[in-house]
Amino acid sequence: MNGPTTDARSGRADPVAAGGRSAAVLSSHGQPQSLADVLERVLDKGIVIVGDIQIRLLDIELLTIKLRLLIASVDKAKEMGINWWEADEFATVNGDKDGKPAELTQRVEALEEQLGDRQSKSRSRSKKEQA
Amino acid sequence: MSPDPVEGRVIHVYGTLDPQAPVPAWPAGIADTPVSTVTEEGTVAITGELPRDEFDPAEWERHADDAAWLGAVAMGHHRVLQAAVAVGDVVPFRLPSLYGDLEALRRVLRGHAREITEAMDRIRGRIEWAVKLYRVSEPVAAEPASTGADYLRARSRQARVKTEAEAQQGQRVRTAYDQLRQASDAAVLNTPQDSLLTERREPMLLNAAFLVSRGEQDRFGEQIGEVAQDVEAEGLLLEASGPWPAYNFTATVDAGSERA
Repeated sequence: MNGPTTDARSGRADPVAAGGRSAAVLSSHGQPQSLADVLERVLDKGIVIVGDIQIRLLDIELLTIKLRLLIASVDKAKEMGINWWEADEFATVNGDKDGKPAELTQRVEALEEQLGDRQSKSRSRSKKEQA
Repeated sequence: MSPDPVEGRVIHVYGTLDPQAPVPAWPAGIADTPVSTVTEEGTVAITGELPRDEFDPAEWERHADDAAWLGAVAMGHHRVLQAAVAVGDVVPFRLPSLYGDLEALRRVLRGHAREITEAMDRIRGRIEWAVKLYRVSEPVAAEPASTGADYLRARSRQARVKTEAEAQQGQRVRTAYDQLRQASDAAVLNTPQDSLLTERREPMLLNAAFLVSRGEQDRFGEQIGEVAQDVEAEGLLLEASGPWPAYNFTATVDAGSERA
């Protein structure tokens, strides 16, 4: 249901295949839309019509979400039945199928440091808006 | 016409349907709740009732950093809109859009009727395709070096070649975007996603969305294929996904829909 239509897929996939790219490219073409893409859209796009129950989600940092995702993916994802990203890509990048939680933790920590600046800026901005 | 939500529930709006379009068979919505529609003066809102204690403002705030919770809610929201766009046009509402009772919802729909109609008119008969470009390789040729001096010269030459190659790739990204923009009805350039989000080592150089007539999808797909082939020689990988509900083309103008 989430995937591309058959027509559209053949329209894209064939020329790409002819270009000689590996099967990985084709499978990523044929895959459902990624969670990152969905979050980017449902939280940041679409017509803004605020209901009578008002919730401030305007300042949610996608990267923060992703950080949590990396952590959540190890333990929580399966029990919550959220496994749409759990294909080869994720396993390959993070090596979690080989059981390397230490490496994952390190990576997350390093990224958290990098993001520290951006996040604190975004937080203070959101506070100002609320004030 | 739905009655007021049962005690302890709030109404969530996913988006609005084209009043002329058929109502699809709905999948389960957010938190596995059923989906229905509410019509108010020609606006057909796609609605569902969510348990208030799980979706009141305090809960949203509590879960704002909780990717598992937010991810599941986002996917529920998207799943419903995706079902709608499979059979007709849909204007997605930004998440969340919650109402305490039916009268509040009707009041808001009346108040925004013009905005909603205008958004629907912009995207009627069209859907969204996403195209991304990644840098998969930097075409720097390795050169054999026999002496130390040769080696250093080769290194500096390679650095220069690399800079040139990157500039060339950047130019190629711009051209690819322009080609696809010309083949579409509208285009939006989004910030490339961090590799943290994409789960790929290769940096994303283009994150674009295109509005395409439903009847032109095959042609646009061919265009994507051609561009994919062209950019491959420059060390770029193209990824496309769709069709999406026209998320990138329904926001009000000041929210960026006309950026490109």
